[in-house]
Amino acid sequence: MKRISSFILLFLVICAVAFPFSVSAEHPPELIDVPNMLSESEYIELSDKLAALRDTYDVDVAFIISDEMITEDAQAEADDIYDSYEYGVGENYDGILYFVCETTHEYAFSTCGRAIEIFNDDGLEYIDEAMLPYLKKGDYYQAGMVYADKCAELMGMAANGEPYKKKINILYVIAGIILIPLAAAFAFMTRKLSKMNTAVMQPGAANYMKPGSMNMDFSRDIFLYSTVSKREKPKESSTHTSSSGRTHGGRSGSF
Amino acid sequence: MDTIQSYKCPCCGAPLAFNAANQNLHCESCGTDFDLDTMKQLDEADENGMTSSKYDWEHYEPRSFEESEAVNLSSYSCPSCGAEITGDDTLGSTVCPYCGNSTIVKGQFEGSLRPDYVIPFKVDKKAAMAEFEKAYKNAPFLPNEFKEKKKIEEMAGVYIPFWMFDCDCNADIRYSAQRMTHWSDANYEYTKTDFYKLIRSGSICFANIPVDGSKKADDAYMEAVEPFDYTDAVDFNTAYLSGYLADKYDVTAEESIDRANERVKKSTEDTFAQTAAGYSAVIPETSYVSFSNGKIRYSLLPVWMLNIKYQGENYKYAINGQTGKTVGRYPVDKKKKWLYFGKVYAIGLVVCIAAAKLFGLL
Repeated sequence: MKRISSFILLFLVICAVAFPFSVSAEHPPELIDVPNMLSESEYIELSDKLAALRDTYDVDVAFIISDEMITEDAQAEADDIYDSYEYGVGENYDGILYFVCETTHEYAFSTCGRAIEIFNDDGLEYIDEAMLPYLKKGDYYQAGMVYADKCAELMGMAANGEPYKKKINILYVIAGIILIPLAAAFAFMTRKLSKMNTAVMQPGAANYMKPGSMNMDFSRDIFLYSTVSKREKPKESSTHTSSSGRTHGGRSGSF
Repeated sequence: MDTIQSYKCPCCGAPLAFNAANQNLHCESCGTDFDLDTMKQLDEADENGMTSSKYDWEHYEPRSFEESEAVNLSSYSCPSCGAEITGDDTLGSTVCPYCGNSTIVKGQFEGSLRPDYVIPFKVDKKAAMAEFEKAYKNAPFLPNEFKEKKKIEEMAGVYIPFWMFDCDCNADIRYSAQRMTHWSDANYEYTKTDFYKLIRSGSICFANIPVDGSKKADDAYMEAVEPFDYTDAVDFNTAYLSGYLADKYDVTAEESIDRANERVKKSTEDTFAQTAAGYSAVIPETSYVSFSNGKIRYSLLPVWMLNIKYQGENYKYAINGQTGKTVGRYPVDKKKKWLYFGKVYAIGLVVCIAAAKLFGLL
C-alpha cells in the first residue's frame, strides 16, 4: 500500500464530517501521498522514519499530502483527517499530523492529547519555518524529512522535561537589562531630587477647613451603564475544537 | 399644552431616542442604553442643582494707622528689588530680607494699610537657625561642605502680609465614577466597568486661608511654609513689630481672590469626592461653588527669611516663625547625585541579569 487514492481520502474525510469517529480499523498510515509527490524509495524512507518516532515516543507523527480539500480550510481538513483516521496513541490520542494540499498550497498542523504541549505554538512555528523553504520549492520529500527531524527534536526536548520555547531575541533581552535599571535609577533619583526644593505651592486649602463643618445636603450615585471587555488568556498552546468535538492544537498557512 | 421632555446622553451629549422594544432610551451616537428612571433622576438633580459658580467676597476696606501708632515706625525701601519694608524707628542698618541688598534706604513712614491681625513670632532667631540646620540635613544631595562654606547673607524676621479668607462654601459637584470587577474562565479574562454619575451637594466652611499679599515674597515659599496656627492670632499692635521687619501688601485683596477661590474649590472637590467610596476612579465633571459670609482680612504672619550665599549663588529659605517649618531650594552636589544614580543602576542591573538568567533569557 504505497499510496491512498484521492477518492479514498475524500471518502474518509466526508465520512469524518458526516459521521464523526465512524472510520475505525487498524493503525492508520503515517504517510499518505495522494498526488504521488514522492518516489517509491522516498516514501518508504520517510514512512519508516515517522513510524520509528511513534515507537520511540508513543506519539503519532503523520504526514499527509493531498491534491484537494473538501472542508473550508486546511486546519479543519487536518483535524478531520486526524479524527476520522483515528490517529493518536493512547486514550488521549497523542499525536501530530501535517496536512498539505499540493494544488491549493495550503497546509496545517493538527495536534492532539499530549502532543498539544509537546508541539506548542512556539514549537509549531519552529517546524513550520524549517519546512517552508522546501515546500515552496515543491520538494515534499525534504519537507517531510525536516518535519520528522524537527518532531524528533521537539519530542526529545519534551521527554527531558523542557518543551521547546522560542528564544527571545538576545538584543531585546540586553536592551531590557540596560534600559529597565536606567529608568528605575532615573525615577529614584528624581524622587530624591524633589527633596532638594521644598518651596512648592499648596494644592488646596485642606488645612483651613473648619473641623466638622461639612454638611452633605444631597448625595446620589446614579448608575448609567456597563461595559464588559474580554481578553484572551496568554497560553503556551492555543487550542480549538474540531468538528468531531475533540480538542486540537494547530497552526495553518499557505505557501 | 404638555411639554415634550427630551434627554441628552450623559456620555456624549447627543439626543436620546426612546426604544420601544427595550423600553429604554437609546443613544444613536455612542450606542449606550439608559433606563428611564436613571434619566429622570439625572434630570431632577439637574433641576435642583446650581448652574454657575458665585464667588461673592465682601469688599475689603483698607485701614490706616493711627498717628500715635506711626510715631515709632519707619519705612525702608530697597533700591535693588523695590521692596518697601516697615520697621521700628530704632532698627539699625539692615539688609533687604528678599534680595540681600545692604544699601537699604530709610524713609518716612506712611501710615496707611494697617493690618487687622498679627501672629507674633514664637521661634526666635537661634531656634530658627537650628530648624534650618535640622532641615538641610534631610536634603539628600546637599554638598558636604555646605555646612562650613555657606555664608549667611541675611536672616531677618519679617512679618509677611497675607490676605486671610473666610467663607461658608456651598457646592454642587458632579463626578463621573467607575467601578471595575474582574473575573475569568478557562480562556478569557473579563473586566466589567460600571459607569456612574455621582451628585454631591452640600456645604463646608473654611477659615483663614492665607494668600500671599507681597509681590516680593515668592508665592511658592509662602504657601510651602504653611500652615499657621490662628489660635495665636491677635489684634494688630505696632509693639509686635519691635525688632522685626514688616512688609506691606502690594497685591490687593481683589487680586488675591482668584488664588483663594482656586484653593477652596480644589479642597471642596477633594473632600466631597471622599464620600464616594468603593469606586476605582472618581473624576470631577462639573463643579459649582458659591460662597456666603466671604470675609477678607489683612494679617501679618511671621516668617524668618534667610539668604545664603554658596559658591557664588544665592539660596533663599523661609522658616515659619511660629512652627519652625523650613522650606527652600538647596544646592545639589552633582557628584552625590550621579553616585546615587550609579548605585541604583548597578543594583537594578544585577537584579535584571539575575532575573533574566532565572527565566532562561540569557
